[in-house]
Amino acid sequence: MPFRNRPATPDEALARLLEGNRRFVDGAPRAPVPSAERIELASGQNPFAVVLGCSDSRVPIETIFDQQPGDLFVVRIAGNFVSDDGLASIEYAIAVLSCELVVVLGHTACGAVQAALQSIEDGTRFQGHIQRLADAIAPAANRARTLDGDWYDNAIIENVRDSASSTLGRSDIVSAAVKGGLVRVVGARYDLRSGQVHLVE
Amino acid sequence: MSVDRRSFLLRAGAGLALAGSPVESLAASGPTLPQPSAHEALATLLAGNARFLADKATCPPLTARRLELANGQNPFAIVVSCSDSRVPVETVFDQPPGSIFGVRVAGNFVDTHGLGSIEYSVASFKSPLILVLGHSACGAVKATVQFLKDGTKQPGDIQSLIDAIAPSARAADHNGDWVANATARNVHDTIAALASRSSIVASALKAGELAIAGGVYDLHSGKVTVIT
Repeated sequence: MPFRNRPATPDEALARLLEGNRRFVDGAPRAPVPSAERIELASGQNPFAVVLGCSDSRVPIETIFDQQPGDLFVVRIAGNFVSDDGLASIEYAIAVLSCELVVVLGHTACGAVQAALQSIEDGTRFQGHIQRLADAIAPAANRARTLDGDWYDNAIIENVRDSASSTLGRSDIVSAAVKGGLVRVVGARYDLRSGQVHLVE
Repeated sequence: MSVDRRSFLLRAGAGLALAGSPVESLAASGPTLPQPSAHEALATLLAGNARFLADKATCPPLTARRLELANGQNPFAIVVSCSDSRVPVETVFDQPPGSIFGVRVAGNFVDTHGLGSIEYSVASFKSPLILVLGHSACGAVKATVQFLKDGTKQPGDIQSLIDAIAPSARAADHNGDWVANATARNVHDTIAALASRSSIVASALKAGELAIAGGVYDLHSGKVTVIT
């Protein structure tokens, strides 16, 4: 197969992502993949990680992890929570593509999380389907309100934790793969200012 | 629209209420930053795809760009695309951070939460363009066509992706390249669903503040072809 060397374990996959983020933070990304390699990929994909991230334009997943076409299977939704079709996409990445790592990636100053806070605080109802985003994040936001520290920051982290645990809890495919040691699920938060990705335990 | 002009626009907008709260502008329909026309937005994406095709992708000054964006975003396009690792949207269109509001799910259709995400960008940032982007050899579309041919089901929740795409695949021309036809039909149907299921999208379309385009990315050539 024409694929570049792929990490052998979930831990190696995570290390590769964090190394890529370091290059991004340092402003020293790798050169773009030449078109010849892109054409090789047309026969099939072999991503090593699936990232559930936010739709926010400031968090382009492949850019902030400095990964190349074919490396990352990406699910994006405003607020990076687990939607039904997002979960199905993650299952596809694990069952069909054998991804070794699932990263749930929140970020600082997330507008969808802020909408959830506002909805809780003063009962704001957002128009159209936007309220559905706030509703999906509300359980994490409510729990965060009881914690010490900044409500907004805590809600971003609790939302990542909820997404990571519901990925496992709602999916037999994911939980079986994790139990078998084939897959790791981790949470992380991207800092818009520093560009750094920090793991959330 | 060049990166420089957008940088200027972002700086010019620094005094607006963006720093604290995109939600405030969303709730109150407050001031938003200037946006290009939908036509200009599409031209910017296609020019970026041409650079990508020619192996002449730009290497943006990422650190400066990141700091500029830390106080707020102003994406000029919403791209609904597939989770497929071979279709990294910002790379395919050679766009820097801050340009594209990305909604990605395997099979590039929209569910309720995808719709909410799109509406958020339309309402908060007045993004003038939605591009629904399918791609050749899409695994979700191929699995759907297989399901229609012989009833092959996918495990777990994966079948829900197939069920979502099945109406488009069923309606697509089975003669010739069924997968390619279903891919195009899925793009058209997703576009139709955006307008019919979202009053925010429908009213922005009616007001001329928003346009929706559909495209297909070819994995071999790297080229995005606009189909509608």
